[in-house]
Amino acid sequence: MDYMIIGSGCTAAMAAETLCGSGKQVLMIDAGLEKGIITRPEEDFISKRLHNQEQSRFFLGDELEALGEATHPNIPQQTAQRTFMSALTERFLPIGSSNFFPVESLALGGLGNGWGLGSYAFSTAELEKCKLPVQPMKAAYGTIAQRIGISGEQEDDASGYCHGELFSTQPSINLNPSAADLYGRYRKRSKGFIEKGISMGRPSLALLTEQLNDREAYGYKDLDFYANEGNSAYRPYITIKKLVDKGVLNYQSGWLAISFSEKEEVVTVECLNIGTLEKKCFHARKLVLCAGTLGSSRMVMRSMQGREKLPILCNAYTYMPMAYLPFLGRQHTGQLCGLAQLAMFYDIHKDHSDVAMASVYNYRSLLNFRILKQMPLNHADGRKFLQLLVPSLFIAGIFHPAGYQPQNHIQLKPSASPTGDSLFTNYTYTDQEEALIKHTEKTYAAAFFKLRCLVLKKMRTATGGSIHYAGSLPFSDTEKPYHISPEGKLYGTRHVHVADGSGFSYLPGKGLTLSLMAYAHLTATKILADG
Amino acid sequence: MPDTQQEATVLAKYIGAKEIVPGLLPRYNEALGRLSLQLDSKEGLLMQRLLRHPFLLPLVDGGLALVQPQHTIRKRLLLMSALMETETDYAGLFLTKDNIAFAGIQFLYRGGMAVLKGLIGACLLKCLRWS
Ligand SMILES: Cc1cc2nc3c(=O)[nH]c(=O)nc-3n(C[C@H](O)[C@H](O)[C@H](O)COP(=O)(O)OP(=O)(O)OC[C@H]3O[C@@H](n4cnc5c(N)ncnc54)[C@H](O)[C@@H]3O)c2cc1C
Repeated sequence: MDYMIIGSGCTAAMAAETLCGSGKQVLMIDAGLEKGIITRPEEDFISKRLHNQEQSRFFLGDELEALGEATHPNIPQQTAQRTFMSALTERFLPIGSSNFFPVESLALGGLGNGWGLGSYAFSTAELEKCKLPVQPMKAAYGTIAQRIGISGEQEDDASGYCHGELFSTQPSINLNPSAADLYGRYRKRSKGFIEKGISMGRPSLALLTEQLNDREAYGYKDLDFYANEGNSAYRPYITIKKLVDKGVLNYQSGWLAISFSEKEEVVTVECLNIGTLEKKCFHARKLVLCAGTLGSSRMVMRSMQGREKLPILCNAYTYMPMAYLPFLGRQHTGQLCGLAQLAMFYDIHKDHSDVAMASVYNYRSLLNFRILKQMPLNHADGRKFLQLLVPSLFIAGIFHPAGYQPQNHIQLKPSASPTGDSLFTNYTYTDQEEALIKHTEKTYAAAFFKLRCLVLKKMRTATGGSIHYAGSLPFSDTEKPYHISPEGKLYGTRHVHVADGSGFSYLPGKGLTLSLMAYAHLTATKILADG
Repeated sequence: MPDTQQEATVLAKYIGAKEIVPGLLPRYNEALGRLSLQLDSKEGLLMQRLLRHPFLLPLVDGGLALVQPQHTIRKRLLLMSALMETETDYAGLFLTKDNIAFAGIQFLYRGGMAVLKGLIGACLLKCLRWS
């Protein structure tokens, strides 16, 4: 084999597409848990609710997964159709921590099975802080946008923060009625907001509103958390299946890569079968790690037999449920979309260097029982209360930027797990970070209040809840252990490359996945250029 | 008739059911086993009281929501609510199908009443040592 990729998530898919395009032999090793994805839902959300006698199994799961403890506490919105995404991680990727609870995946497509599709390019200032190469990244964004298809607004107050005209977009999705009303209200007052560093607009989403190859345009069935209608949402399995069907990718699932070693011109990866616990080695000329920041770091630490503490970055994340007062008790039965409707950016220095972004969602298809579970009200009154509230409900999810702090680290320690170790982690905020997070939360609450949204609660998720991780093997221009070169090569090795977020040395307060994919493509391009 | 059938009927009616559709009770029963929502002796006693005096349900449910949200009775209520929400005959109880008049006033009234019931319930639970 020429190249071996570990993982099948967003980064692995993009690295594979680039490497496979070269005609070389590519092997993908993946834990690869799978579940059939519904791509042709027969009816929309409302028809299902009103007429489908089997809906309980659909919405709650055959095993009532949506009600059980099977879902990860940091993804309370997990539906039965998606529990496979985080399955088996407790067993094979154990975490030891009292304050950091990351969500990881051992699925075909990784966390990309559940990502909210928010696709944002980092600004020049953000790329520099991440230590990513500015011009090549800007070009790579265009390539990825073409591959995955992105819808959004070419020119509104937010587009500079979403894509900065680095790529063209398909038209935005239709706004839900309450979001359209809220957006109209913002536009009337946009000048005042912009003066304060706040901009609102349509998010860029990896969701098609026009056909792209054999993927179809979104059809507004409002079943976004249960199905992928016509494959309109970009999920990495789409790329992996396409490459396997073309016969250019050798995909081996069921294998957990443990560690790697190099001898002469061959990299050997030792793997564990997740079903039988049998061990097996795979070989290739070059290895590309795309197991997610934490997954790749585990492999590197095992292979280097180090017990050092490595740094880690994770965005703090605040949820703000809000009642949009003009829509209290309004009819709520039409065709809607459960994905992000609006994006608001708070640019504290007004120079795109330290932006905190809020994605604004409506709430409907995840059903009321999830809210009832969290509300301090009795169920009978709570039900009636929600009939009034839900049509007006917005959830704003705010990502706060994250830089390195010395107290935040990950470390591999021996344990009785099948891999013989667990990842011990610590993640806390300094007083300064805490103050900035609170200031940002307050700024957002005030901005939404001006738009007639009543913030019902500000909820900071447990650390790790943003599901954005990076920075454990920082980029470095000079050779250092546990660092990677600007080209993505792991120092201390000859043929091991890291193509996920492990090298990013800063985490902007916005979705990172488009940048992860762009970087994975860049790394693969450099590997090809190396021969 | 096993106890849980009476329980399911009382809980469903409390949440808003006028009639009990045939499949609901067995589904509730099966789900209790699947989710291991067994009541311990103290919780069992409290449930018996609630079944005898259903008018206490909004108070105790609201009180538990404030002081012990993870109580098994709350979990059983949530289960019933989720089962009803995903049942065609009850879906209308959870969807907002028509514009609701004076929504702002109703919103404040409903929220206020629910909080009040919760506070009374919390006092009851504490004074009578029911939780
Ligand atoms: C609910 C949700 C919503 C999100 N929304 C957004 C959003 O709107 N915008 C955004 O930018 N980001 C979002 N994200 C984050 C986004 O999903 C991740 O940043 C992205 O998917 C990470 O991709 P990755 O390839 O780095 O890693 P992962 O997706 O974690 O993939 C890792 C892959 O490696 C495999 N693997 C791991 N360890 C091993 C091993 N040892 N051996 C073999 N295989 C292994 C796994 O099977 C998996 O295929 C969201 C995430 C979630 C869960």
